[in-house]
Amino acid sequence: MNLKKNVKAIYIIWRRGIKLSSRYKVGFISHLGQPLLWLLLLGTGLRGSVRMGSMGLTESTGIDYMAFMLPGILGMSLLFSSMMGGMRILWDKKFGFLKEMMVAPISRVSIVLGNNFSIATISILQGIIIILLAPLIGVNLNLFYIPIALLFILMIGLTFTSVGVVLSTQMEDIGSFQGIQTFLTLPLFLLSSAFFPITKLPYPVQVIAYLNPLLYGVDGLRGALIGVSTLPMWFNLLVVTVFCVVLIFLGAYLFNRSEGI
Amino acid sequence: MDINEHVIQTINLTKQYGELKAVDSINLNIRKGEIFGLLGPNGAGKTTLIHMLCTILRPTSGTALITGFDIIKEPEKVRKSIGIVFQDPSSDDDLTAYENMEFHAMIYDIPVEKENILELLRLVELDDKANSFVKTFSGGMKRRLEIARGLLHHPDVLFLDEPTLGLDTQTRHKIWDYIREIANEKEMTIILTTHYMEEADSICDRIAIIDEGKIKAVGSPNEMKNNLNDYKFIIKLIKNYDYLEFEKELERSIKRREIGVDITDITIKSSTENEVGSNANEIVLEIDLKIDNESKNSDALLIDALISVKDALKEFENFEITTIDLHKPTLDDVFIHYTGKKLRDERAPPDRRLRMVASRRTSGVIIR
Repeated sequence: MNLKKNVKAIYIIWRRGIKLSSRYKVGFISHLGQPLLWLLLLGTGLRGSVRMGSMGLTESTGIDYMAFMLPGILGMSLLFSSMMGGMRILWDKKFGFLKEMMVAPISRVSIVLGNNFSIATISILQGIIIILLAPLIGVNLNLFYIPIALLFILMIGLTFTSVGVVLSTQMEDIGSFQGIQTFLTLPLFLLSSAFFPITKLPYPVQVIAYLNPLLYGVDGLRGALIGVSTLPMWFNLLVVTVFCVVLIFLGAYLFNRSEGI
Repeated sequence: MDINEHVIQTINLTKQYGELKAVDSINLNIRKGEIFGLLGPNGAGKTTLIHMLCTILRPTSGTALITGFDIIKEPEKVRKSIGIVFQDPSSDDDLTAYENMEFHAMIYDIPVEKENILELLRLVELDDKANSFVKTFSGGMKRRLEIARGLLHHPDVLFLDEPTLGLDTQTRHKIWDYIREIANEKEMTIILTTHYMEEADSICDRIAIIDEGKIKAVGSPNEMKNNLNDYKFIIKLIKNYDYLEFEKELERSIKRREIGVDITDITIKSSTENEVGSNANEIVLEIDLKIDNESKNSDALLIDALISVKDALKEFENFEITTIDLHKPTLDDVFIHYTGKKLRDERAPPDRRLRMVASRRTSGVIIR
């Protein structure tokens, strides 16, 4: 099994994923609409109520709550859509198409990677659209750092698609996947500094928060998009990349090992 | 036979789930170009066996060679040389028939040729549905699409797991036609599992009966039926006196004659015992017999024997023959002979329960 053949297999699986996503237009639009609603409804409401001083940012930085929240909402929507995307393997299992891929002369790792990349591609598209809409809601972005923001988006997308894949390999049915997913996503985004800096949390909770890959993703996005971050950019990128690579391999390993389709 | 002529060779192939041996050291040789049927009750291990051969289940011990490649050491080479149509749908509902075929061609690394794909769709009469989404297809159409898809990469071996389960008679006959056509034209080896004995009888060159993970018998359907050698005359007649005595006398009378066959059992019962609307005076005479296995013309032997039985009956008065039936061994009989009559529901995994309802009906026919 050579590299070229694997890359081709990944491309074929990716292409199918993109084709499917392009057919679920309602899903795509609602995934896009959700973060915009969060921004418009929660962001505008809190903008007037939250003093930025209490957020650990001085008024002089000129950053209002809407700008603070935008990278957080972006991270949150990536979290939701990627975890859902990771469930595609479970859907394929339920509807039988997974068997078609499993008996094909391609490596199982390429099935997982192809799926991951197609979900991540859609995540990047959603991210770009949110970034493009930012000026319309009065948030000025750091244009120069947008490529770095996209890199963070890619990493966050791949990380949580892989979390979805890991869960998919452990769950038998879609119901339990959705139960676990709902249970996991809430702490993940509340402890990601999407709405408030985690320095405001009690110390033990802070320790837990530092185990959350989304924290580094959101902090990195915030640094890239509005130029404010608690941790250094390179550190954020490093941590997110490590999480991403480890989870991709864990997902591929578990999928490769799983039996009985 | 030269070992190279065996397209599939299993060597003590075993799959164990805890205590249960779903497949229990099976040794099976399948020749190039034959249509080979795997028959067995629910939970006998047919699908487990096929899934191991297709490299999606890992054997607990033993292995198998498919076109010379080891299923454990060279799974990707095996996958390249086999095609499979699963029991349950395995096409993507959200892609069109053509896109499903296209995906298959790409993933098997063969050139995507529109003409080629359309020709296969034409074979299964789906060419006019090439651009319809698979979710709009009926069960039979999906199965046909998957057969076409399984052929796309010119496999040496095609596995069909219950290819006609739950399909109507017309579709089943169509699918049998495709299978014969494929085997003839493309010189492909075809392995299929089925619950339908008439299906195995009409299309398989050889069959294996599997039960409790073991092979109970292998051979051509005709060989197996001849080996069973269980014939039966069923004669209905109207009697006018007590048939219990009649039974003894008749038995004596028949056995006195040289009828050229070996009578194993004679039973006489009142037909009212098991039939609705039959004449109260009617009785059913059942004569179980075996014939000389070496004989070339079994039909002539049977007819002679029947005439002798009729002559024996003539010694008695006051009766009238209404019908005479000759029951030759069927594959159903062979199947029951090797697997017994017990229902197998309790051994099947819970997700198979629905399928069980359907198969219980089929086995009802077998059990009579």
